[in-house]
Amino acid sequence: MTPLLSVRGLVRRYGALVAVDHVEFTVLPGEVHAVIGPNGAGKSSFLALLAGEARPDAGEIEFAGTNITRLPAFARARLGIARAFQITAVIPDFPVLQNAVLAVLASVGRGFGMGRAAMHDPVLLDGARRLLARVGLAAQESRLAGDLAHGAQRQLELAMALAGRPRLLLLDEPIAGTGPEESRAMVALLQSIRQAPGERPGIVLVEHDLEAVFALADRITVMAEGRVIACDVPDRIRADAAVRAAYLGDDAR
Amino acid sequence: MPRAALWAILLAMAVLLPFAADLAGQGYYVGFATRVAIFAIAALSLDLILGYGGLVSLGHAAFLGIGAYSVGIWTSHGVTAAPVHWATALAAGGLFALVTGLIALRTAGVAFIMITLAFAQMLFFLAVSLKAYGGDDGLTLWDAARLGPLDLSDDRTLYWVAIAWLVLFLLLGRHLVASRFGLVLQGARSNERRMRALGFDIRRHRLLAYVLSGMAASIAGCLLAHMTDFVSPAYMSWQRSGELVVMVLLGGIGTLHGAILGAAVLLILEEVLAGLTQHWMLILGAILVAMALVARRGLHGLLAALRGRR
Repeated sequence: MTPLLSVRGLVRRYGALVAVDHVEFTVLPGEVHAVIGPNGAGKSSFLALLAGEARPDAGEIEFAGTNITRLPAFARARLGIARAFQITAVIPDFPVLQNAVLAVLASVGRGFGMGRAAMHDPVLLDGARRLLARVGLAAQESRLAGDLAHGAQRQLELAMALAGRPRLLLLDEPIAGTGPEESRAMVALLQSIRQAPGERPGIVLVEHDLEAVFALADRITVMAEGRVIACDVPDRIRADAAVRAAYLGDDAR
Repeated sequence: MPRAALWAILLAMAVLLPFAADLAGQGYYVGFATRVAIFAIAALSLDLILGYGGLVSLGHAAFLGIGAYSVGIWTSHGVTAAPVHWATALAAGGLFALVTGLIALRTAGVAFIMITLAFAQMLFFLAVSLKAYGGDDGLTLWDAARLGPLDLSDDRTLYWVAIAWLVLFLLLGRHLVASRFGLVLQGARSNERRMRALGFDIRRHRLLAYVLSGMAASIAGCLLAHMTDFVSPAYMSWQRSGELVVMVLLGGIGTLHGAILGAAVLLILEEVLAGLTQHWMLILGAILVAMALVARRGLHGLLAALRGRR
């Protein structure tokens, strides 16, 4: 199967620090590829490079047959790469529904839309309500997004990422920081996304919660100090000595 | 009272004001009200980028200058047709906004403030160097602008024209901020990163808002020249730009009609306090500090809070 995303020799330096060091990485269509590693391993930097928020110093990123290495973030989003951030990024001073409308607008609207109403447009409103229903936020549509509980904000953000029926989802610690109840709900939601008929987006999942990672991932890449130290199916990763060493170092602190 | 009725009453009062001023034998107030309407247009246009776009411009008076010089330069060459003045101002203001916006919008926050200020200062000194059009001393306009059969040197006519422009821009502005475009502009104010990740090229939206805002403010500059029959670089001083920002903040940021309220209250305060004492700026300063402390959302927010309490 041709990979949906393939990354070759990706490098990103911050001064003397090599945050991402010659990383090779692929995501197959419909695959959940988790990225784990101790703090400072370069996972978030790597995700920022995939999303187009940072430019690599070397290497190539190819998505669905297109070289996207030089494309800015908004252009990658339009190609079907959606993103959820480590620090929840919704529009806090908009109501929940308006956040969802914005996400639907991003997927259907081109041009400026100066002559077209936003919050009275049935196409946008219906799409937005469907999204909210999917992540279980329908009852809270008129609350300000900034007033939602942390877990609910994460769900809203995921809903917004799903609006454009993305082919690739980049998720930066969607579970970290949520309570046990919320974390179970999020794992279930991610399961439902990957099994949704007709969509099956590839998912890059950066996550600290290893239980969730092992439950969701088809493949796991382990990063340490910017480099990939292992990439395999979950069972073999569990048994890998190098991985244990990396995490033991982390735990010892 | 329903909102529409309130607006209708306010509009009727605004339109009938010259007659009331006549009855009271206070014709002077028509000129003052025209001034309020003109600055309300400028403040309203600034609120579009400041309140809705989150872009603090300290160079908005440049557009007042562009509008005023559009009138001044045409008039000095014997062209007195106001539509020609206005069309020139819209084109020149839009072009200036497009070129400076392309550069300024590469930045945000304090850098954006500095760049808009710098561009306005460049235009200020350009006007100073225009010896053919009065340079530093400014340019007196000897011929009145005409709008078809109407003579814009007539106080009442100019007042009604200014009110018509204000109403037009308020309606356009309200439509714009409720549109898809307005939603994206406000989303970008709140969370740029999220907007880019959704696939919005927000720099284009901001540039368009900046151009539209500059065009509206240029019309205010035209009206200012029609009113004073005089054009000078002082119209685009950075103090004037600061005054526009104060109007928006005073009235209530991101509401459009708050900007109108802010313009009216600031000009009235200046007028009243200047009549009381020559140290009026001290008192005005104290009032603005008090406002900033007690009403972060401006007069609009204060009024809304009072209504809610009742």
